[in-house]
Amino acid sequence: MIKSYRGKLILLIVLALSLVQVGSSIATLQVIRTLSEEQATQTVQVGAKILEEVLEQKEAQYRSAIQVLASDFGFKSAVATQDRPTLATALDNHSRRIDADLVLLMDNALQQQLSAPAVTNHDMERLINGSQHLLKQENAFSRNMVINQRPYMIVFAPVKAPTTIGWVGMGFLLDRDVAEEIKQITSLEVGFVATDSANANIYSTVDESLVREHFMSQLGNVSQRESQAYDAGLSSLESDDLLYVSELSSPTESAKLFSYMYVSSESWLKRYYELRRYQIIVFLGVLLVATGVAFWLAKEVSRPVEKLVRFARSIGKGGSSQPPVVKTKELSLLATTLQQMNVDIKERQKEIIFNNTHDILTGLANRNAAEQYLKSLVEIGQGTLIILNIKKFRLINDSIGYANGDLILKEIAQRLNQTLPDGVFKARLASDEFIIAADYDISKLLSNQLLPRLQQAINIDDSAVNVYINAGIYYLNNRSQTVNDMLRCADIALSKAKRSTDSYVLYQQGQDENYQRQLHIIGIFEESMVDGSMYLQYQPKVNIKTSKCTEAEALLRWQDKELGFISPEEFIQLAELSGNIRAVTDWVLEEVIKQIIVWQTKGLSLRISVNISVDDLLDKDFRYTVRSLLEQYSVNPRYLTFEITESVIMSDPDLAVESMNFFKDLGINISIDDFGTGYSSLSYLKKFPANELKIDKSFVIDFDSNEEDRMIVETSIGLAHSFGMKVVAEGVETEASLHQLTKLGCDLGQGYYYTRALGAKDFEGWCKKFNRDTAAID
Amino acid sequence: MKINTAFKSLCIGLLGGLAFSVKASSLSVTVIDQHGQPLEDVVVELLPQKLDEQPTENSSNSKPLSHEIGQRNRTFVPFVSAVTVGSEIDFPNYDKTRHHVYSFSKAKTFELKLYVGRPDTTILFNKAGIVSIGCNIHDYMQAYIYVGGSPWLGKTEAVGRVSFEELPKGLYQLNLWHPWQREPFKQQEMLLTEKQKDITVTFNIEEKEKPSPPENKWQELFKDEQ
Repeated sequence: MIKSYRGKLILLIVLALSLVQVGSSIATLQVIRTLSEEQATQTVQVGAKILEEVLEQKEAQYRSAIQVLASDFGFKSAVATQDRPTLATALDNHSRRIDADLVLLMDNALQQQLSAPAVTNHDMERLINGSQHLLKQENAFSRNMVINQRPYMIVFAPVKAPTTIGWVGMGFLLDRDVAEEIKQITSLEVGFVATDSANANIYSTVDESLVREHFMSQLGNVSQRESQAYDAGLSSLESDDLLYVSELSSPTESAKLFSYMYVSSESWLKRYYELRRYQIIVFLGVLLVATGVAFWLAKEVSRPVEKLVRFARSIGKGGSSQPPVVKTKELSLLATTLQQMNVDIKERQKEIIFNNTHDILTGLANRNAAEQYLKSLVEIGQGTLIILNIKKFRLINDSIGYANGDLILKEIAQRLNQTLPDGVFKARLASDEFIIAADYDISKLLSNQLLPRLQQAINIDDSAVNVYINAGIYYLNNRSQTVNDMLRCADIALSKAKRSTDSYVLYQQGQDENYQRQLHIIGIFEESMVDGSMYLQYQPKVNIKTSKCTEAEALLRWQDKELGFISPEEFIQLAELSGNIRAVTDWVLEEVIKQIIVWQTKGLSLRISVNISVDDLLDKDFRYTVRSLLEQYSVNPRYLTFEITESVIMSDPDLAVESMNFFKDLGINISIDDFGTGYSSLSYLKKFPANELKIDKSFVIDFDSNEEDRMIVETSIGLAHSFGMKVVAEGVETEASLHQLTKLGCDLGQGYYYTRALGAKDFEGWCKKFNRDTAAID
Repeated sequence: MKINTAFKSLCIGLLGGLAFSVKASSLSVTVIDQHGQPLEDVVVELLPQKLDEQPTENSSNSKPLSHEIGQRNRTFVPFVSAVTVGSEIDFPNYDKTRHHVYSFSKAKTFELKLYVGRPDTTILFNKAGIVSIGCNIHDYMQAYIYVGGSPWLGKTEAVGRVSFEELPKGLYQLNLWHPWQREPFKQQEMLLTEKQKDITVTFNIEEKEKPSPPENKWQELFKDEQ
């Protein structure tokens, strides 16, 4: 197949022109052929009419001639007297006069009297039988018929004296002379055919062999079919010659007499052949010209296309050649578009390269660029990497909105750029995580210049937002590390900084292993809640005055298959760090509520305390979770106590108080945990909507021997009571302690003196037993 | 058939007895065509077979007398003549044009060449048979002469009837002839015993127009000549 556009174009043009030319030629030739045929047909039909006319004229002539003879008195007399010698000479004389080829005399009984040449009885019979009605008319008549196997026109006249006494007939041979005579008039080939059952005698102006076969085949038909069925009219011979046959004899005759007009195919198709020859010459000429034009046209079209192709290729390779000059309007537009595309692509490339290495928001280098830079540090084997993180950025985002959060990030980036010299690499890794790095020690730069500058209040919408920055520092001192190692170590230092009071922490060897364990713990949080390795224990809170256990604190325990016992201090801190604390609290709360219901069905009405973390308290979603859990399990909220540590409340006192009020309004008891360890002022304590105050066990454990502790406990109890709160003492380990607490008016006690924390089942048993025993004492 | 013949003989015998007492009969023959229409110009010939009486003086309808066939307005008048053998016929020409009267019939061949007025001679018909005559000048002119051997010969009038008076009683053969007859009449026997007898005979003929001169193209020109 031709693949090139040029080749296709040439082929298309040549093909289309050929198609049009051939189509029109065929149509024209067809029309001409049809017209020629119609004309030829018409000509032979007219010719046939003329032949008929000529024969009629002849017949009229002969008829009048024979009537003259028949009415000659002498002839009548000879007929009447049957004077044969006279008749013979008279007939001979008359036939010469009118050039007859046959004479025939019959008496009034229609018996042949005389004939020359002799007419056979068979022919006589045919003649008489076929002329019955004409004879009856007793008028002159004529017949075209075959006699002696030759075609004759025979004219008869009655001999009347005055009644009909006989018939005289003269026959005229329809031979080649007659045919020639008609040909003179019609310019057509003419012939006469006398047929009998086996033979056809043809008298023709053309070679009779041209038509013999046609008539012979008709003879065959005649013998098979009715004699009437003989085909007259127009027929086309195999050679395309036209033949128009008229039947001259009467239809009932068995020996037929025909005339025909003949037109050879050469003559009637002459103009058709001529035109066909011209059409072929014209077609070849047109084809030649069309091919030439097609080649020229294709070249005109394809040359600029080739130019554009070269131009497009050079664009593809990143070249910047000038667009080619093309004249065609459409292609010129394409050239301009290609040029514009070239410019656009280059611009876009720059943008992509920039975006690939830069942070869109701040314009600092991004993580990709940072990794590239750190790789260069690894190669030289020395340098400092510092990860910076904005403390509690999520909370800032929540309170001032993401758009403003972005402004803070931009400001930080700007300050980094302003404060640090050009040699220091600056990048933003993730939302609020930045790194700075250099091939020398920049920790001094951080502590002396950068941190003070970064922690200056940022002005957003005319209000100052304070940001605190944590930083993890890592010194690179060998080449064996990877970029990821560097980042992880710096990250570990950062995590430590987050948990410490220091703004920045330097990475120290060994921190890494601990970090891996913590990552593992964070990773298995969710499955642990499900697979039972995380579970609850309950420690009783006993009413000191009544010595009844009415409350308990739910404590979360984690016994991992691989890591063994994981201390709550460790994993709660990790849960808070990793953002899992909400999920943990939700799980605990649901477990506790289910347990409350289980015990209530067993007749054990217990108020259970749950520890609430800072993330829970400050998250507004938590409020809805609590409310929907209460509704879901239809549990009375007064059986729930939320223990909130003093330090938690102090991280955001206003929001904490709002949440505490919400839960208190729901009917949940609020307890202030670890009281005495935080820094809460009395004015805050006044605002806390708490029902209960838990004195930290550090004050209680030694307070019978330590006077200061005893005073703190006593003051706290008095303070709480004055605010209308109950007081719970943690760390009750001895009877002496309990005795002291009873004296000081403490309401509830919790500690090893009663029991350590127990699983749900054990606790249930202990509780029933304890309450029964104390009841027995009472 | 035997009974019939015997009955006939008986009748003849009886009639024979009566013949002397009753004298001669009259016979009226009416000829109609196949459509029941009266037929003119039918020659009726009674051929006596066995007569019971002698013919009287007046009993013959056509004696061998002189007859006339004139040519008037290029037409032979009458068209049909019935004459007994031995009759002579005159052919007077009443037209202004000449006529050439001829006959090639076996019963009588004759020729009266171009003449005006009355020809010099009459033609004698002394042989029974049919003579068709024509005019060599005017091919359409035709006439027929029935030359009969019986004295009781006649032809029907326009009403299709011919009458015979004082006809001897006896047995006759009845013969009819007309130029347009499709086939020769089958002769019938007829027994005449009563005084007055009327018979009607049906005769099948081809209907034609009597020959008459064609419209002359030059009528105005020749008006005075005819």
